[in-house]
Amino acid sequence: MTFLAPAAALALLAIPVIILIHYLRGSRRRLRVPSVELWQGLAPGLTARNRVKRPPLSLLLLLQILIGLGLALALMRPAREGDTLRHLGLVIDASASMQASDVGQSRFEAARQAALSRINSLAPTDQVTLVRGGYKPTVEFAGPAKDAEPAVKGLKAGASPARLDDAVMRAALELSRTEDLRGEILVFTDAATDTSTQMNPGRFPLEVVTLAGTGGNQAITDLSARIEPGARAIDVFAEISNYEARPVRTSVQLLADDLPLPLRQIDLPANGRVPLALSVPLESARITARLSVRDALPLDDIAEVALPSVRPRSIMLVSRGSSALERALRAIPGARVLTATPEDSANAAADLTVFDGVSPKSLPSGAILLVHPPGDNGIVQVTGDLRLPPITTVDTTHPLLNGVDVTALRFMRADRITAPAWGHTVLGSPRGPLIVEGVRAGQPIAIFAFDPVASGFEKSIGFPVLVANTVSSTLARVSGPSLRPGQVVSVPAPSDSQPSIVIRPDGQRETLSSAGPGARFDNTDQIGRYSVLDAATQRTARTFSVSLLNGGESNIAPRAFPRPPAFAIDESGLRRLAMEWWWPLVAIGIGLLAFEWLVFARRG
Amino acid sequence: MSLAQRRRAVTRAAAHWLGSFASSVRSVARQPRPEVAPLSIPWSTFDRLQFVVSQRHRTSVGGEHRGRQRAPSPDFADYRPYQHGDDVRRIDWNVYGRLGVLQLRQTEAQLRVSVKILLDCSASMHWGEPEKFKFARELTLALSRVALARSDSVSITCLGHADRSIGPLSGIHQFGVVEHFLNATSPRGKVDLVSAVPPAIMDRSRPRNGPGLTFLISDLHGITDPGVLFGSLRSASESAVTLHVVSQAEADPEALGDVDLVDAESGQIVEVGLSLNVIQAYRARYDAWRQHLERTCGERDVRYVRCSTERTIPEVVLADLRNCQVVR
Repeated sequence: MTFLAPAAALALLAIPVIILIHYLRGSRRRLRVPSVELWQGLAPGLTARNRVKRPPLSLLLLLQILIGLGLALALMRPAREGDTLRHLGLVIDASASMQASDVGQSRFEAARQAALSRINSLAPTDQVTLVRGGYKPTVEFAGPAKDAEPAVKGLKAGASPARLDDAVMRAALELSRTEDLRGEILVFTDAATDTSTQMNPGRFPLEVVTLAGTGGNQAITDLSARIEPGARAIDVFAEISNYEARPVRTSVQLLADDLPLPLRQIDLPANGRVPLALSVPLESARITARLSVRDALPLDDIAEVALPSVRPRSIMLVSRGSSALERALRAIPGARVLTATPEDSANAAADLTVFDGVSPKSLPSGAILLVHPPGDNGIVQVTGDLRLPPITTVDTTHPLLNGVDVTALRFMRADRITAPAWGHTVLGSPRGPLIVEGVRAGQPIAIFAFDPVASGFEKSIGFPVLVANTVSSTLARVSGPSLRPGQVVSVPAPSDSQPSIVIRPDGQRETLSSAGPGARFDNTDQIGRYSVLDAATQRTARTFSVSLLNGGESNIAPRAFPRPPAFAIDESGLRRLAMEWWWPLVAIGIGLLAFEWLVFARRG
Repeated sequence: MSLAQRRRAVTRAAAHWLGSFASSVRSVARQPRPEVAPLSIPWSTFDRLQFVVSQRHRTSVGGEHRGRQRAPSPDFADYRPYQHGDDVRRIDWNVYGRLGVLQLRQTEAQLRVSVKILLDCSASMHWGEPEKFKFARELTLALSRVALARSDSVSITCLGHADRSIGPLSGIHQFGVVEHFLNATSPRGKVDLVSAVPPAIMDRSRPRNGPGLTFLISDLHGITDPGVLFGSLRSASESAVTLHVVSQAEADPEALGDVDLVDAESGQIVEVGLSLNVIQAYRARYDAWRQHLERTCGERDVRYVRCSTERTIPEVVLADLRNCQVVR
């Protein structure tokens, strides 16, 4: 047993005070007599006040001592040690597959209810950390269990793949802040994700709760377009996958610029896929595909991509001589390539200006491709060279790498640059990015931090594909990039410094501040079309689409999770719940007071 | 403190603790009077009694007390010579035939006594085991029985209850009325006997020509001037009797220790440490007080009888009052 307020022991001083009062006053009985006349004046020297005496041991004195002792002990808050206080880390998988409806309303809702059930089993003083396991795991709540319910109920599912290893790491970090509590991490997931990455909970035990049904799913797992080599039409490629152990017959509705194209019936084999190809006119800006099937995950039954523009593009190549790059540019259909020396580039006006190993004297209008930038380029900071840089960062979903075999990428030499804040690393090494793409002050810019000749990349078959993709991406029209959930898009700032407004597919509006070189919008967790509104003119300045197009998420069948390591918990030093029991002492004190009143006060 | 003073203090403390111990032992050893169902008092026992009164006044007709006066009645008393003017019907002609002398026949007169009972109904009477007031009430009933059985008139006044009195009543059939009246009476409040008695004995309904007998039944507490009280009592009638109701616990208290004594009438509190010495001193004071009352009664020609609640009513009436020549 322990005392939570030992300083209250000072109240025990009341006991000697009580004894002193009884000593001075004495415990006196009251006797009713017919008359006190004969008692008055009887031997005054022997009356109680004048005679020194010990306080008689009377029932009243004992009662008052017991009451004082009981109340003093109650003030000291005696408590016995109960269970150890716990700190529960809850990680809820917020990936797209969690929105599958094969478990109740959805897997995510089932995970939410399971989390609430676990929270309700905790003591009010236990701690809870809630981590949303999305593309970027976030700590949604950290505090006492009694306050966690609103945060759990306010969680929203996402459409991007979940980084559960990062989420577990974040939870472990929060748990490590409370060394005196018993930590435990709980992961609620459908296990329909990449399970190769080991979750590392640190020194805390980890439990994985799998919530998944057996529902099947069909999905659009690929939708892309390119200009036909003869530049007469745009070739669209789509892939429909069946993640079910039975064949499915369904139909695909394709729309070009929201105009329906002929419906296509397809027979999907069990656990198979069917490719689709069609051509659309060059003037089309956008292609949308819709799958007419009732499956567990409707998110992946619609996809939309922006179509490349075939308007003749003027490309200015500013170089001191790069035949490989020039050849790759001239091979792009619809591209009109002009060359210029660095001295002549100041007055050049083109849709895309390519600076190959030279620094721009002044930034031209239009898009910019910076290849092997020198140190004084004024756009990105170059800090050195890299030899045989290993490639560790690859955004395989980025349009720049569309059709590029990233496994075959090798660089003998590269430039060491500092990743700019406005840019997105498409390909990178541990010591710096190799390919960066983004919008800087409203200007689309792509950077190749390597010399195609010196790096040996020009000899790769992926080089011209990369160049073509870069030209298409940087020269994308108003119907802007097609993104995956969670990707960041740069929204160019309006010319008159008015803020931009992004309208999400669910109709919510988000105002972007105009501070800095172009606004970055990363709230792309909803599938659908986004619009960028110019706040000044209220006109749509740009649109972009977010589609799932992720076979890993569309395959909602649960995979086997690696068994988390077992940990033995050392409970020494852990804080325990204090079970206070001051209230029975107070009840006893009140009962004794009532008894004292009944026996002594009433009878006078 | 000197050695002698210290020794005295130690001795006193030891005596105090020994006294406490003795008291606790005594209270355990003394068996309480066994609870006996109260016996109904045989009221008819008192029918053959009569009060002893002083006959200084002329008789009133119709009573059952033998008087010294000569008055027409069936009871022969004496002869006397005929005198001019006597009633010739009272001449005993048998005596004249024998002796040739005219003699007048004389009979005894029957007296009716007016009994006045003053019952103390102050709060101090509500005390003791047995309760003093209950004892006094039964004693009042007994005296009423004696009077009513002899066709005397009885009136009862409850001192302390304003205007609560009954009587005069006569005849044995009125006994139930008296009993009902007394059962409805209870002691309460403070009563100053010295000021309460005189108005109570101013009984205008009392016949002028009858001997009077006044009883004061009280514990006699709170009397500021006993001489005045007993003097007014004596002046009310030919005979006055004070029946002093005494409780044994009052005369001989046993409690020990520090106590607050609360006066039953005034509520005054006196703090007392009841040691053996104090109790002895109290007993002496009590005896002296009682003797002073008795002596004052004697000085005022008021008969004083000590009635202990330890005794039964028949014992008090048949023995104590008879011994004191209150009844015969």
